[in-house]
This record gives sequence, structure tokens and C-alpha cells, in this order.
Amino acid sequence: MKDQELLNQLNNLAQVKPSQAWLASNREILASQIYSGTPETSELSWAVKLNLFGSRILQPQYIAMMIVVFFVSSGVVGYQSSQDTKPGDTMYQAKRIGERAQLMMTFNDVSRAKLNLSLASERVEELKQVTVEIELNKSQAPEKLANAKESAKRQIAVARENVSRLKLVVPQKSRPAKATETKPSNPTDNKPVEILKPEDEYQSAGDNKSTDRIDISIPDGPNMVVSTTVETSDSIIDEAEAMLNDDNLDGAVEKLEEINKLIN
Amino acid sequence: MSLDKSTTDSFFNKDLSLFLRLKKFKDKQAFLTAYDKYAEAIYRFIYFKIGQEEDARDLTSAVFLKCWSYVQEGKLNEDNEYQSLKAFLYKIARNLVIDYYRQSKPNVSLDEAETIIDDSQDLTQIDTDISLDQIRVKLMYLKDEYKTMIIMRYINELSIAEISQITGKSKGNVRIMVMRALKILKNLLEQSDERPGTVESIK
Repeated sequence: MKDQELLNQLNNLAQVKPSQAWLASNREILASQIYSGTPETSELSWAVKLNLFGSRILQPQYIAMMIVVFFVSSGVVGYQSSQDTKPGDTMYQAKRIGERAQLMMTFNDVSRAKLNLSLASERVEELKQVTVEIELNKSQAPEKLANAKESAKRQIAVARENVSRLKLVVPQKSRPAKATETKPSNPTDNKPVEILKPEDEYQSAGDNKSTDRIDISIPDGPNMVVSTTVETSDSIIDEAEAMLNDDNLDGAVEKLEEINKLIN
Repeated sequence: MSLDKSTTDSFFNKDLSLFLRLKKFKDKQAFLTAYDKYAEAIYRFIYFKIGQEEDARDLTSAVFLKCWSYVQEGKLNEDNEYQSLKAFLYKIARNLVIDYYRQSKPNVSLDEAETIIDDSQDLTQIDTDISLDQIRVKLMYLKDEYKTMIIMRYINELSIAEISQITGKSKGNVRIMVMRALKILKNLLEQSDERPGTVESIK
């Protein structure tokens, strides 16, 4: 007899069973013995179930899962709690890392430009906070202020680069007042440039003078239209930068928000 | 999050869950579930150990009663040796079989072993295949610990780890004993093949 044949025959012996009738009657006897004198409870209480689950979640795979959940949730909570921090704060690096991650996940040029403008505003706001802090506490290191200012300048430069990439500034010194017309912006492509009447209701933020508006279809978003005032983007950023240099921080923030609103 | 009934039933009927329910809460329903789950296997183990149907039934009942009395006395909590209910039941069964041998001192002879074959015809549902009966008879000739290994490993299909836990032997030792038991059983069967008329003549 071969080994495998013998093993198969041994496995077949597993078919040896007591009769079902005996099993059932014996079960009844056992049940009557264990339940004698005590009320029968067929359902587990929730306390029991929770306790059993408690034992189960101590297994390695559940512990690993809990660790992952802990790190993810603490990362999210940490990022959120770092939103109001300024340079030098414990959670400030978490905030910057979160911003970098946000930038990496932003692929659309318009959204990226808007995000960079928001970040530039944020840097200036931080500079304001640092300035106040240094005024209140003279012992603060002055280089902290210089660093914050430098950081704000860098962010404005990045925002400028992003905004200029959108080619928003199309000088149009004079144009006849006429109904909306559509014409190709470039003879080589057929992307429409919509010129609106000067009397169309449009006012740049913080500025009451009426200006022309140009809607440009951008390459990576067929249905996305970028609007801005003529000759505004660079000049407004220039103004913001100048205000920053003059320590007019509120003005700088206002200008940065203004151009951010113009991109829609 | 809600779990459907089949999922929770499946979880609460697993060995670990049953063991914990008995250990911590002396849960009667868990005990009956354990009976439904393991009674056949325990019966089979005892039956192949002692070779007597009636006695195997009685001992099977005794195993579960003993288990319940241990639960009631809180002995499951005292003894941390066992991590599973299955191992605990087999341990009780082994001890009861040892007691059974001590009391009745059955010395199974070839004739008695052959009688077992006839006795068991109405209680088993297997085909009356002559080679199966041969194996059953030859099992009775094996040394007790080898018999235990064969029954646990190849008939009741316990893992090496489970057998190790039940018998208290190392896994390596269990492996060696299982192989040795199988070899001896094979030799016994080959000898009977060479001497026709020993088992076949019974039929």
C-alpha cells in the first residue's frame, strides 16, 4: 500500500460518526443539565459581545490598522490645528508641509495661480503677526522678522510667475464700444477671446473704475475661462510688492486678494 | 457600522470566541454550540482509541459534562495552558480514555479487534470497504501514543500545532511521532496483506 493510498484511507475513516439521533438526545440531556435551575439565555448581551470584540481587536492585524488610523487622523488634526500658526511656532512646519502637499496636488494652472496668491497673502498675514509679536516682546530675534518678510517676498514672486503664465495681460488701450463680439486670439488657433463692452458691469476689487474684460480660454481647461482686467495682473502684483517693502502689509494683502478675485 | 447576522454568528461560533465565552461568562449557549461543533470529532477520537461504540458514546457525554463542570468551577481561568476549546476538549477526552483503560484494563486482542468491526457496522456510515476495516483493526495494535497521533492527524485532521498543544509535546516531536506511527501502521497492513485470511476471513 502506498503512503498516499494509506492517507486517503485514513481520511475516509473521518466518515465514522455517531448516529444523529444519539447526538440530538445527548444534546438535550446536556442542555437540561446545564440549564437546570437557571434561566435560559440564548442571545449574548451586548456587553459580552463588546468584551469579545475587545479581545479580538488585540490581534496584530487590528493593532496595525489602529496605528495607521492613528497616524492619518493625527496628521489631519495636526494640519488643521496648524492653520493659524506663524513662523517660529511648533506647528508651523506642519502648515508649510500641508501647503506644499496642496500645491503638488493642484495641476490646473488657474487653480495653482490662485493658490499661490492665497499663500502669498498668508505669508504677509504671518509677517503682520510676527511684527505685532516683536513689538509686544522686544526680546524676539529681529531675524525672525527678516525671515518672514523674505518668505513673503518669495511667495509673491512665485505667485507672479504663476499668474504671468496664464498670459492674462493683454494690453488693449482703446476699443470701440460695441456689442460683445468673439474673435480668435491668435490666427493659428481658434480659441475665442470675448471682448465685452466697457459699460458691462465689471469693477475690479477695490477699484471703482470700469475696465474692459477679456475672457480667455486656457489650454488645459476647454470650458474654463480666465477673466481679468487689462494691464492689471503685473501692476497689481508690483503694487503689492511695493507695499510689502514699505511695510504697508494690509495694503499688500488687499492687492493680492484683489488679483485673486480677478481670476475666476 | 452594522454587522449582518451571518457575520456575527460566524464570528461568535469560532473556537476562540466559544472558548472566551465559556471562560469569561460561563455561557451556556456557547457550550451547546461547542457540543454541536466538536461532538462528532471527540466521539471519533474516543471510538478509535477504545474501539467500543457504547463506551465511546458514554465517554463522549462524559467529556462534555466534565468540560461544563470545569467551566462552572472556573478551572478554565486557572489553567492558561490551553488557548483553544478544541484542545481543551481533546485533553479531557484523552484523560477520560486513560481512566477508562485503568478501570476496565481492556487488553484488545486480535479477536476482540475483529469483533469491533462487526459491532461498528451499524453505527458508522462508511462503506464497508475491507481495507478501511483493516486499518481500523490495525490501529488497535498500535502503541497508544502512536494511535493518538494517527487519529488526531489523519482521521480528525488536527494540525501539528494543535496536537502539540493537546499532547504537550513539541511540534518537532509530534512530527516525528506522526511519521513513525504511519510507518508502523503501514508495516502492519503490509504484513496482513502477506498473510491473507486474517482480516478478510472475518468478513
